[in-house]
Amino acid sequence: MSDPAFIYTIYIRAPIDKVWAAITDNKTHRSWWWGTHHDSDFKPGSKLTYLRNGEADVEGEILEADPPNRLVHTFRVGGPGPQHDEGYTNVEYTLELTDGVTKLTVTHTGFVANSKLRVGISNGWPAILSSLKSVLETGDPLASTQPDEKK
Amino acid sequence: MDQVFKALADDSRRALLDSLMAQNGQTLLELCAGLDMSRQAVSKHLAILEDANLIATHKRGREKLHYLNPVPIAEIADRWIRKFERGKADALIDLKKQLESD
Repeated sequence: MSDPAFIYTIYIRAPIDKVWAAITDNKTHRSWWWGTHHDSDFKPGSKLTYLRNGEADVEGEILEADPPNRLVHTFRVGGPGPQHDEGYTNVEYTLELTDGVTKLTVTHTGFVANSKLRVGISNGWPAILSSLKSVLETGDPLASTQPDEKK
Repeated sequence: MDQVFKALADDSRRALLDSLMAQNGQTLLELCAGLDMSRQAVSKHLAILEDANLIATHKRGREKLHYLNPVPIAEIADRWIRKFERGKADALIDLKKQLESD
């Protein structure tokens, strides 16, 4: 595997199972992820779709799932558009329990040269992860990742 | 959050983060090459940045690659910038950049 383009880590004061459950939640609209619904059973070989207002934001396939420690899936922006044309990248989550705190690491690999997707995700992940931490620790997501207002 | 501010309150450490912003995933050797600092000093600063979770690392064989981890900075920004102020703040930063580059 190529070297990661990004590695994001965050320490969350919550049990590892709770963090895993949030990442593999397929029932609710994620307040910490712009209200997207992640449609998958999170089993290897299954499809994964991030749905926002009924449309596919991202499509992929689950490559590995080892609850509650590791989840790997492919990631392609829903089409049509230049980011969709860049094809599939890989997202890997690893969860470790250290001193009662869950360390969550997200690595994103496989970008094409001069990737537009790469620019977009470098803004997205930090906001998503800090909002996940906020939800799990306080019950409230951060304002910046709440669903878009209804027009 | 104290740890993040302390880690950022040093010119050399900010220079290391700038270097990773320009090129993510550098080794200690590569980071030393771009900066006028001893290897020991760079190593010490990297440890402080890693403790503050501003740097994440990835092992490649015997080498260690360093990645800028902006998540703690996003937490700081979210604490004081509300959703609808973000656009205005970004616009002001863009204006500053534009005026200062002329």
